[in-house]
Amino acid sequence: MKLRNEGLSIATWGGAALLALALCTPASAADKVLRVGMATGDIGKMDPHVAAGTPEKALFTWVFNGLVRIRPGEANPQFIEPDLAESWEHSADNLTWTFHLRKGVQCHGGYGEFTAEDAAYSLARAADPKRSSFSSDFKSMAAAEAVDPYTLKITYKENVPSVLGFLVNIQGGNMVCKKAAEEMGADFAKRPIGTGPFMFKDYKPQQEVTLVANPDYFRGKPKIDRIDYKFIPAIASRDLAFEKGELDISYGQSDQAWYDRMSKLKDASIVTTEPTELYTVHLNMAHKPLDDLRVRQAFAMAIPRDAIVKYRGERIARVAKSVVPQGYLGYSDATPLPAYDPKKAKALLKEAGYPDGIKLTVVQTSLGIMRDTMEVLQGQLRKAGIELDLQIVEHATFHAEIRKDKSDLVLYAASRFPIADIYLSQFYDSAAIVGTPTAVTNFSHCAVADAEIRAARTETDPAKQLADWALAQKKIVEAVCGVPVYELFDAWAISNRVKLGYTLTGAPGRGVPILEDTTID
Amino acid sequence: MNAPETLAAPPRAPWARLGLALWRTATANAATAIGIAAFLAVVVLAVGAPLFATHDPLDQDLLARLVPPSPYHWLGTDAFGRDIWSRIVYGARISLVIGLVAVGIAMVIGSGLGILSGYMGGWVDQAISQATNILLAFPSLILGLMVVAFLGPSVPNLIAAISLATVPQFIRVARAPTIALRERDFIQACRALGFSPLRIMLRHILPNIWPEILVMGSLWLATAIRVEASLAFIGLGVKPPTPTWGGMIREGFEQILTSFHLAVFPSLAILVVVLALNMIGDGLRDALDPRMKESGK
Repeated sequence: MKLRNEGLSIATWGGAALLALALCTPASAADKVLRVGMATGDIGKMDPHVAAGTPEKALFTWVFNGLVRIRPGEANPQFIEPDLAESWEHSADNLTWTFHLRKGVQCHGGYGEFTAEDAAYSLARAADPKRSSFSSDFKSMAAAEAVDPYTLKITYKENVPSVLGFLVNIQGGNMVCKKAAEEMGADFAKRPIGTGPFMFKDYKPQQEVTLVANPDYFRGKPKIDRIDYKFIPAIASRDLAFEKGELDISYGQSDQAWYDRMSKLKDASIVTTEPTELYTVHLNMAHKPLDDLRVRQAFAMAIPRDAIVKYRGERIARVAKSVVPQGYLGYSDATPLPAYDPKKAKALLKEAGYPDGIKLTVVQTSLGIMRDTMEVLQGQLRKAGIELDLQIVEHATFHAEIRKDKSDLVLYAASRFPIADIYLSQFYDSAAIVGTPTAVTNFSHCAVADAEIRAARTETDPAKQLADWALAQKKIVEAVCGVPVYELFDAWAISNRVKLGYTLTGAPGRGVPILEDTTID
Repeated sequence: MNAPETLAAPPRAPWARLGLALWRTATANAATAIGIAAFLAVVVLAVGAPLFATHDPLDQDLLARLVPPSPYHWLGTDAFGRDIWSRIVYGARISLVIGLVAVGIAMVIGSGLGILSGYMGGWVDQAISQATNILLAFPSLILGLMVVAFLGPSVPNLIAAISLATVPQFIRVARAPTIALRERDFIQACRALGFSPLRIMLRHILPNIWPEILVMGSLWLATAIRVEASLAFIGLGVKPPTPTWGGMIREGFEQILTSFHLAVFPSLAILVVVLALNMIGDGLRDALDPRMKESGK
């Protein structure tokens, strides 16, 4: 009997000890864990100077800083504010910029203080075509050098329409820590090291990335302890997980039916954010029969932009009005796009020598929304006698194939830093024609507005610059290098348990910013 | 080892034997009768698609998307405003053509190789059997997936993929009875008379095993249609906008929480055809299997 009592006593104390231990461990139930669902099967390279996809960009928002940032929740560059740089000034000719960095900013993982040397290294890395996908954004940069540990000097070869725009924490503007990037080499893309509010902890292929709060974050330790960034490609699965409370933030579907259904949820907010992605069909003018202006005009007239926006959803999309997205500095819709007129389109095809219509071969990604859009276009163009033969390939192959100039037309969706120069330079400057050494994303072989695009790039008079950009858009629209269709917002479902700490209307990094003040009930 | 009892003499008319078996099992077994009726109905729909479809299956009405079933759109519309009933009717053509042609090719090649393997024996049998074993190690969907991923999605490539996945089944079905037949007296007699191996295989062995091969064909036709739908579901089917049942389910899956009818109706179409073919196959197998006949008596 005595033995039995002793046994019970040991069990009781042992149980109590285990309970106490469980309550004291860091991963206790008190941890504030934010679970974010993203529309992807896996994540690509987690190097902010390489990856350009939404799943990666969203992650970078939480891990990296820029010299400057756009105020959280906004997408417009008028809200640019200090980030790693506390202040800055520039020379009268705009060619020399000096940034004064914050002191005491720590790189993740014990890689030391972030200094001007790291910033200079980071910009040189972003400008290097071998290490960066965004090198063309920095082609006007002559040098970035550390004057002292907290002073960075950037010099430019020519005037740049928005220096600060390229230094916000998106794409090449993300600041990496030199020591970490050099030590880790290719592994940096597997274990990114930044200075942001959250630090990379773990990656489970095709499942999730785990981030933990950066206790040394210069704006203060985040109130969220951990972010579980989950890869759930199917929207139905993401929605179910969100509705069951297994996700706190979920990347939505840019579709009105989705928006309407999710808007009925009681404990969630459905938010659409800028910048929009402009969906444009780039017509390859180097391929017959698209070398004929009448055929391109017919193509443009066969696309019912209003109906396609209604199909996509008026809370989710808006009609495109120029070859540059609305709201960008330099945007102009003074020259209207060709109006929908399938009869006139047929007549133009007949006049061009194609009374029985035309057939175009299209390399098309299997990625959901882009494939849907192309199928809508296919159905609509068919009514005007334009047949599209779709070669469906997976997304990475699509990107490779369209850069080999293999497709008669390319449907491309893109958002860039909101300045007309970037869009025009990347899609309509002849220097960016695919298949050339300086290729970027000029799929149409457009070369009608080179003079205006280049003049605007270095113009110091704002009024003249706007006039050049407007003229460039007029020439591109008239030559029908591309047919803009619609602009699409990002859509997010956010649980009301999440308190972001700001009003979300824009997310230039494509991910919902999770700040030091963001919390979850 | 009962097979030789049924193969005592070469039947004169295998088609007649099959037809008779089909008729007998249909009249005796309600499930087979239902299967035959359902399959014939789908064939009629597919052949007469332009007559039965209420709309152009490719015609989009962007302002009438995701419409539920109604008198104007019997099964509703999909995310592009296309009529689901019309797409199912036209989709039947693709499913049946791919299934029938793929299984037909597999049947011819597989039976030929199976008979050759069983009759010739030796290294020929070894080579064919080992190759068959390798192919059988892969599930048919995985094999189809590999081929289509390599060649690209198109009707001929889908047919090639499904044929390749199905051929081993026919090799096995043809090889086993051929080995048994090879030692029968009438085959020995053929050899004694100096008939060529080709003539013996085509004129004397094939007619004896033909019904069993057709039974296997009906069962594998169901699998072929299922594999085609599965490939289309994962985006390796026929190119858009051609309607296919698997492709329709894939498109409907995106809207499953708001408009479940998009995925349900093509799924039902596949269910009906696969079930019907399995019912027919089961009935035929029962009718042609001597053991089942005996137990039935």
